[in-house]
Amino acid sequence: MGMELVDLQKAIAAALASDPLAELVTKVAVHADSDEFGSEFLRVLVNLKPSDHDQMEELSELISRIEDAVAQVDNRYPSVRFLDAA
Amino acid sequence: MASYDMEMLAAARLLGKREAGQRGRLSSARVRRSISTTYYALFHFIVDEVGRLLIGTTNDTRTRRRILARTITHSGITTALDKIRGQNADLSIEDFVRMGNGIGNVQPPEFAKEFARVFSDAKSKRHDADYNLNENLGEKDAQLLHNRAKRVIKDWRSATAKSDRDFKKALCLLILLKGKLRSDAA
Repeated sequence: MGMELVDLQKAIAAALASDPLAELVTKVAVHADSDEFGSEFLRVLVNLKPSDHDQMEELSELISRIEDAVAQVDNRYPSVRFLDAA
Repeated sequence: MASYDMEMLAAARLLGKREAGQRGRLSSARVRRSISTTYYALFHFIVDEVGRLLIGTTNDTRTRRRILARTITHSGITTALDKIRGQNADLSIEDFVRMGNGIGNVQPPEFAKEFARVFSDAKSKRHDADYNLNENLGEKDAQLLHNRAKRVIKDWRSATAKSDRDFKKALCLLILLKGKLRSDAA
């Protein structure tokens, strides 16, 4: 099972809509790649507005939310990375 | 004495942590070394578990555990863990990891599924951290990966119910078999 990236992006955006950090997320991008053993995976790049608060717990939950959303529709593992907006 | 995986996690934490009063971004080298070290903490943890669960923990079997450890590959761990990170275990291994004689889907225990997910995450980030400078990795990525790795190792160690121990043992055997049973090796 493997979805088109644009549909995955929509599925992730929908999953994040109810996340406590939803207001800080400015953009989500999904790229497919293969690792050194040939297994396909997804890079999920999440752009965040800067914040002074320690959000590690919330970000950890946000990652789980993305993993759960992708696991329902795609076999590829979503490796989530965060980019701070300049 | 701290286990090797714990020592590696402590090193990863030091690399990815700001010193008091430090301003600006952490250097890319520190972020990337932290991510790579976290991955190797997970790798050595699971290698150690395979030895402990399949050979035992006594001092007189230490050499045997170390010899066995050298046969375990990154790709074998990856292939095995990929088969248990979904809602259900992969069809090709479900009878192998099932406890008892039931039928139907096998849901991997949460501690194992989470370990598999974080291992996948660490592996892909480690590869980018070590070899792909075009891919952005920041302080948050390093800290989150470290926190998640620490949590899944703790949860794995805390999972001591009979069914959990049975699943761990089956998974460790699968890792030794490089993630493939004869039925799906062809």
